[in-house]
Amino acid sequence: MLKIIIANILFEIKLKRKLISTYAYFVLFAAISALMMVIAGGGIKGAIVSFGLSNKVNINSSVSLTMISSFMGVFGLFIIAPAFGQALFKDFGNKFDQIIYSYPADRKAFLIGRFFGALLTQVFIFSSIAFGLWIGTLFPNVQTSLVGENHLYLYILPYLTSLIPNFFIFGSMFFLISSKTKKMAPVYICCIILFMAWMLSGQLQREIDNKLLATLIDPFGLEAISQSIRYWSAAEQNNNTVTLFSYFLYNRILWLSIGIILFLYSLLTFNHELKQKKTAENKDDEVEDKNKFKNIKLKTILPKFDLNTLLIMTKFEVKQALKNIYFQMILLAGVLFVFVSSTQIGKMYGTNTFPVTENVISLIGGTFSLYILIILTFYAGEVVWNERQVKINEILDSYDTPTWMKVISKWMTLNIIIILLLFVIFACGLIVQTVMGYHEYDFSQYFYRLFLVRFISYFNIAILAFFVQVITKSKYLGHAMMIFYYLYYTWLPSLGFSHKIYRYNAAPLATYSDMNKLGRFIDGYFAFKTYWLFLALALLYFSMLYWQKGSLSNYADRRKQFLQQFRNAKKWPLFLPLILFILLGAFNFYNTNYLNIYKTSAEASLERVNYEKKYKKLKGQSIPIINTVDIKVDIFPKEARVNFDSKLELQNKSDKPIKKFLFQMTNSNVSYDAQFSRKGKFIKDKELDGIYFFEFKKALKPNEKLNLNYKGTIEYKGFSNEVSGTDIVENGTFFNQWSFMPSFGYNPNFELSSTKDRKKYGLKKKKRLPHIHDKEALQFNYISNNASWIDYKATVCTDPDQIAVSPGYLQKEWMENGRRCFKYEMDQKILNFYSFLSARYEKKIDKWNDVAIEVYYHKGHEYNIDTMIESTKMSLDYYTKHFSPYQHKQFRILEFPRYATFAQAFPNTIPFSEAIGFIADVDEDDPKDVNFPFYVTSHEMAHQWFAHQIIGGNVEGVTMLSETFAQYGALMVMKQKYGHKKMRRFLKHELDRYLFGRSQEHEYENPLYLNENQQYIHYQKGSLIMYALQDEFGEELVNSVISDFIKQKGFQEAPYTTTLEFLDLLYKRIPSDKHGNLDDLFMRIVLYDNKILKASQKKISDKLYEVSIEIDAKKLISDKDGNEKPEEFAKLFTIAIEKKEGEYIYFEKHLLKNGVNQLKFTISEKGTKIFLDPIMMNIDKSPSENDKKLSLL
Amino acid sequence: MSLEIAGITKTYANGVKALDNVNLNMEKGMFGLLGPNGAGKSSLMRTLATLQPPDSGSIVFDDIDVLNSPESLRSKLGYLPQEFGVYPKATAHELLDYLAQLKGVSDTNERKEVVGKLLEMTNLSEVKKRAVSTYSGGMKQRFGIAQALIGNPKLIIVDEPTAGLDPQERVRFYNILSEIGDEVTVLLSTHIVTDVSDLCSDFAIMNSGKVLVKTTPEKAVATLQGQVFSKLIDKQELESIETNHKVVSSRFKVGKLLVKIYSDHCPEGFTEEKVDLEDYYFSHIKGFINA
Repeated sequence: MLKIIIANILFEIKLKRKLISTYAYFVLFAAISALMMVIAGGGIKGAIVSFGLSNKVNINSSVSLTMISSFMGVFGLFIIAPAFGQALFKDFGNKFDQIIYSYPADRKAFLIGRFFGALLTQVFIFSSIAFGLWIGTLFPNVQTSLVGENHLYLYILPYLTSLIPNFFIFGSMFFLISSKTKKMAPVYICCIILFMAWMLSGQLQREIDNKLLATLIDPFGLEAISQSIRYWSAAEQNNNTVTLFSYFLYNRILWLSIGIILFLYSLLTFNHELKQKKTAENKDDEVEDKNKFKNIKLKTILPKFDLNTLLIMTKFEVKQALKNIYFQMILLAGVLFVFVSSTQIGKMYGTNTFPVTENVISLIGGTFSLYILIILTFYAGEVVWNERQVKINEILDSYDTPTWMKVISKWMTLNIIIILLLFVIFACGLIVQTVMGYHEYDFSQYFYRLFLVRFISYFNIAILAFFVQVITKSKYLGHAMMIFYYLYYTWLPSLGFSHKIYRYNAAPLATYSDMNKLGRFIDGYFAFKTYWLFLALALLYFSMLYWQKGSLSNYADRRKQFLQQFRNAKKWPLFLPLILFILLGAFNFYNTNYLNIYKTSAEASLERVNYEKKYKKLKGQSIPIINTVDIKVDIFPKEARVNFDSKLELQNKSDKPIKKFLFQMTNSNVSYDAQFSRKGKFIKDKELDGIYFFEFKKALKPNEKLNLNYKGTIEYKGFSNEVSGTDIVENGTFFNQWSFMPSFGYNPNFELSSTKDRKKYGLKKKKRLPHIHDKEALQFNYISNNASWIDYKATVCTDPDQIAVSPGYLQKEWMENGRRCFKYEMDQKILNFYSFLSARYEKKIDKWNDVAIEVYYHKGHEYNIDTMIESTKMSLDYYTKHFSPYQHKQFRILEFPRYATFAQAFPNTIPFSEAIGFIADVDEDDPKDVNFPFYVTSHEMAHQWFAHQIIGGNVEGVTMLSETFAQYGALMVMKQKYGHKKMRRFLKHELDRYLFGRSQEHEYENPLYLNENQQYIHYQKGSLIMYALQDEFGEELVNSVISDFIKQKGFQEAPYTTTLEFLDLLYKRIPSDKHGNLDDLFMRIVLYDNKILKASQKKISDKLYEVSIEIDAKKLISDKDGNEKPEEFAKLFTIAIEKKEGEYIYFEKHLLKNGVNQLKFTISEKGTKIFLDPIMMNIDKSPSENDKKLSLL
Repeated sequence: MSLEIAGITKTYANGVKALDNVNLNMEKGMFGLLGPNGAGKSSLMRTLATLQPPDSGSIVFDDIDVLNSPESLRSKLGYLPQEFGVYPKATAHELLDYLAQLKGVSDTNERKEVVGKLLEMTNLSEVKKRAVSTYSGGMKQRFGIAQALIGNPKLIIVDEPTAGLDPQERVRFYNILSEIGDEVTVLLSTHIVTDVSDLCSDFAIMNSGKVLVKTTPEKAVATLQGQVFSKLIDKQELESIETNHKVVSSRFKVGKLLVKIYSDHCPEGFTEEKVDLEDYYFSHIKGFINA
């Protein structure tokens, strides 16, 4: 038996050794792996490969190697599949099975041999990955700082945990399938299903509570790895070795067991017999003899081909395609996938949004588009090769059916398949909406986005796939070329080549917004799609001329035949589209590169570098400061144009005279005229666009004032290579002063920020925000670098059917030259931070005390308006009571299109994206749902205090005073609404995002009070810290410190306040023996790594259960890179016991010390689950270990 | 209605010279192309069926320059390749109807008639509702000839149609062919000599890409009269006879071997044999006689 096994293994290897493809695959995978490594190592400008790891992590660390190897392994599936499938199939495919299986050799030994032979050759082929990765680290253009010491075992490890197990698992699947069906196609279907499982797993990761299930679904284990290491800090990513642990371990156990079971099953049930179809020879003979042969005269018929013939041919082809069982299976799989992933539509904080048509099409169309690509690639091969596969080609090619009819009928078949698939998407969409109880179907949107916008895209792809099949000599070569095209298409931009003029079928497409539909952005989309369509038509005609009847000849002969065909054929169908292609290309290029500016990312970086090198020396020089803004803005929504005319009062607020200063407006869509009321001149920088000096004839003395009349136009002309100008649109204009107002003096915001990039251009490392004691930087708040508090007045005009809004109170509204105008005036000083909005709004009005509440929304988006108003009222209540009075008499929320997904707080005005909250479908009874419209409103409301009353200087830590405090405000309002015990719903997301955020840190992590505008710190960690702070020291105390802080520093002029001043107030109010706890919150990076080891309950009397738990507690102090040191501690932690989800029967604090803690206490009811720190007040780096089922002893 | 083939040469990419300066003329009636496997018959047939352009030469059928306007020939051509497959699950009726469309029979009534007649003619009427893929070899060949006859073509090319058929089926197939052979030019390739002797008025022998001879069966047999002799021998004797004589063929006969030789006189121990077409064929293939 052993001999037969070995003989088969050797035979398998020998066969593969002779195949050129074995070596080709080796070289291919080595090359791609090396390339990935070089890109990950920053060796190629503008190209990025990250795998969700920190970009500080070494490319040859265990994490990187495991991720890249496993990822490459995923693509290896298409090599593994045929290898294992063929291991058995080759006997059947080559009709050698009858011989092989007539031999007396042990079938099992034969199978085992074939299987492991295939496995070994795969191990050989894919050893290329490690080899390529290693080569990659040696490339000279890889950044040396990203290459650690090379360890052989780190390269081998992924093979043991991921690659070889996967070969085995998938191998047994393919082996089983091919041994059962004796066919190859089901093996490929299985591949697609495996891919889908992987993608589905990725989709489900968004749900925090389902991590285990979601990671188990992934057959490759890739999602399991990334979830297992999700919270690793940069240091851990560099130093830890990825072995089998956490989700990855469970995943491997599951899939390896599946692999083993399938393998054994195929061994035990193998049956070599093919099902023979019975032919009915004998029966026919009887029929035969009864009939005497008749002399029948045949009529000569002149062949005629008409439209009907074409239709019949197309019908026949379509029938052939649809009858294909694999088509049906791929389609079915796609539909199932859509339904599963539809449960995730537009989720935020684990909470659903309504399945509005916009979201449904985006989700279903998006997930489905991959299937359409696969199906088109596959079917182009089928329609082109069908006759040859069936072997009826010699008959058909001897007919005089016109070739063009043949080609057109096949091409039409592809289009019919596309349309059918689009109908499937349409149907899926309607079903998803209906099942979810949503009945506002937007049919015109379905029609427009599916059958027009998407159709043209697939139309072009279909022709390419068809063309590729016609010019190649084998179907599989055609498939390979299409895969190559997809790679080319998707990877080119990441290599810095992002122009759509050279990426077949590329076109800029804006997000669909309910407010603005596809807006004017559809122009650029159709212009580019049509451009490619012309090329496609030329390719189609070329395919017609290149089409080969009869036997396949070599390429030289085909070229000859083609030339002959071409000489006889009409030329215009080829040249006309080509000419149109070139003309439209020129038109598109004119739009993208002349009407708009196209810069590669490298060019853009270089400009910033030059700016910094040239002007950094001017940093800190005095500039005039803006005192007042009086502006008239004319919005022309349909023309994507805004005229502005502003009168600014400026003043030299420094103690030095100003002779000249930098004046810059770099937005290329803005043209302007600037007139100072004082003599002087503009001096243009000849190299850098938009940069001027203004030089006074006579220096501006301290405290001297002058006026500036700054007027001009913002205009988006034509279309650009990427969608741009989403701020001025037909319905839903929203832009702020940054898009058109000049900035004065050296602007550090232009500087490149990432250390990696700076190093590349020979610039010194830069902090993301200036040092907390930087006196110069403290002269400006972080909102504006050329103003402090301003007087503000604005007149905004727009189309008559729209409402235009800007900060301030409406003074009057009138019509002027057929346009609707609004005059707004602010009655007190505001930050130099204002915006303009215009849309066809609906309006809902309410009142809280004397404050007017107004919500401007898009018709149809009424769902959460009341929640927003409720949140506004509760927030106003809380903030005015605990912090300080509200400085305005009005609060407005305005919806804007989903081109951006945030809400932003301007004085008394909150633009709020349609994507975040307006269509939320919050189920307050679902313990997992977070009412995020409520939360976001409350957060933005809080900014009226934290930003618009208290504003920090532009130094590190500053965002704690705005974002963290705004989070705090929102948390307190939510606590009031839901109660302390329900805050877990929200805070568990904050913890997850903080931990993930720090694992993605590009530079280094700061403690909260020094954060450098790091979102995961000022939002997520901020929430956790502030919640813990008020829990430990009392809400009242925290509120009164904040209130004092506002009293002292509110509406303050330069130099602005810092986090240190706030902490000073806070520390003073807290006994000094507790200062260490404050340090832990604000000044250090503290993590806990607690784990419930055991948890059980014992019934001790009728109404009493004794709970005993064992907790391993650990406190860790992390440095800025994530290196951790343990620290001793003793601290109170909440321990809670749940009766059912969201309902606690026990909720008490217990003292925990580092090490193993034994706790015992009694409860009056039987519990189900125990939680350590349920409200997430201590940052625990593995939160999944902090709850456990409570077992009954 | 004549087919003229002149100087056709075809060399495949792997260097094999499949057709070597082939010249042939044929008129109305059945023409047999006889040759062993690999002689180049199928290459020639495919070339005539416009499926594979030759490297050089010319083909003219009824004033049609076939190589330069293959479409014109295709409208008068019926072709049955040596091997063909069919779409799975398609019934004979469906498929023939579809093929008729592709051959340009676009009028529905006309097509109905043609398809019906052809199915009747090939005796497939009663099984027309069955998938062709389930047909036996003979039925499938009859279906093949039915499709070739759509539109009543003027040139019919059938490539090894009887290979693999049992004797009964072969007869059936001949019946159909002989029925149509009077009106049009039928070119039939085969490696079975009786196919030719039974059916064809003219024939040619091909070997190694060349046409060795073109003649009629009667003439062929006549040219060899008196030059074929036979002897019943033991198996061991064959070797010495082969060295001394031009052995045309040998076959077993009641435990002994009957050898036929080609010679201008009767050697000792041999007797004169009645010449058949097979003797002529083998003498040519083995190069004993040259045309």
